[in-house]
Amino acid sequence: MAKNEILIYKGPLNHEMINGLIHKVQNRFIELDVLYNLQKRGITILIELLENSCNYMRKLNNEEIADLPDPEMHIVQSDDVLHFYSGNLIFKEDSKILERKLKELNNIEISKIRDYYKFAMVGSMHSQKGTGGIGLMRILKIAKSRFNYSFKKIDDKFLYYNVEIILKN
Amino acid sequence: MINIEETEHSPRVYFDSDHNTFELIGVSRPEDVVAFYEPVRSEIEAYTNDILAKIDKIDRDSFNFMLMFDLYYINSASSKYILQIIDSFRKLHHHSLNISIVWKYEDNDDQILEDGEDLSEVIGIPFEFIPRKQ
Repeated sequence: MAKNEILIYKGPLNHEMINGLIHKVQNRFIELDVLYNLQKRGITILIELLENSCNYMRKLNNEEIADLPDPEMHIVQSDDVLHFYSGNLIFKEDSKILERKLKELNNIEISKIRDYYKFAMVGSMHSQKGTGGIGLMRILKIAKSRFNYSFKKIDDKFLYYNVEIILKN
Repeated sequence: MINIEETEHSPRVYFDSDHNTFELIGVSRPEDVVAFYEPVRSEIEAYTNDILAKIDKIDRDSFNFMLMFDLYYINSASSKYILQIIDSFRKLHHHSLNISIVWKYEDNDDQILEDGEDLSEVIGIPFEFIPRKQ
């Protein structure tokens, strides 16, 4: 089975960098002649993953994290399957909430994810909270698969959160 | 009246209350989604509230507001605002005013079609889905 590297990135994230990464991936998809429908779904997942990481990193703006690992994004293609690996620092206390959310999402029957997503959209419509949870649900709805995730200890304050999602045609 | 030009990351927004037209075209993942969409949402809400305030004077047979979406990518933060904008028009729809929602998509882009179907179901108004060649 041939494997193609689509993107390997580790570094800071902001809107401009996200734009650059999206362009890079779009060009690579065209170069590798990835099916159009898979390209569109893949870019949508990439946008959600990168924006989730970027938004979370903004929360760490006032922290001394210069010596700690940067966010990362890795995409590999094998046949008509795309593997997304994303990672970023997370506060220890936030990791518990995120882990609970990921467990909850992974427990939803795949055939019911779309209904849950629509239900969550109604709830979020007039909420002041961010859309991070909706973004994760949208990724799952598009990929129709499960999140594979881990939290690795960095120090007493931070963990490094990695999430993997597979998108099949 | 709103007339915002399309950029690489934010959609063209056109709202003309004189001609009962709202259009959203392009990629919707602006850098600051709140700063981009909040003024749009707010102006549309003011317009729909104004219509509701004078609903008894409006000729229901001739009123027809057309919303047209032709989007290429949407992030989830934008979806929330798109939903709020359509929700403002739902209030008019509930008063038997004719609201037409057209959702265009590339014929081989299931993702944008599905986004439109989800919004239509959540909001409870049928959309007209129009495919076009890529």
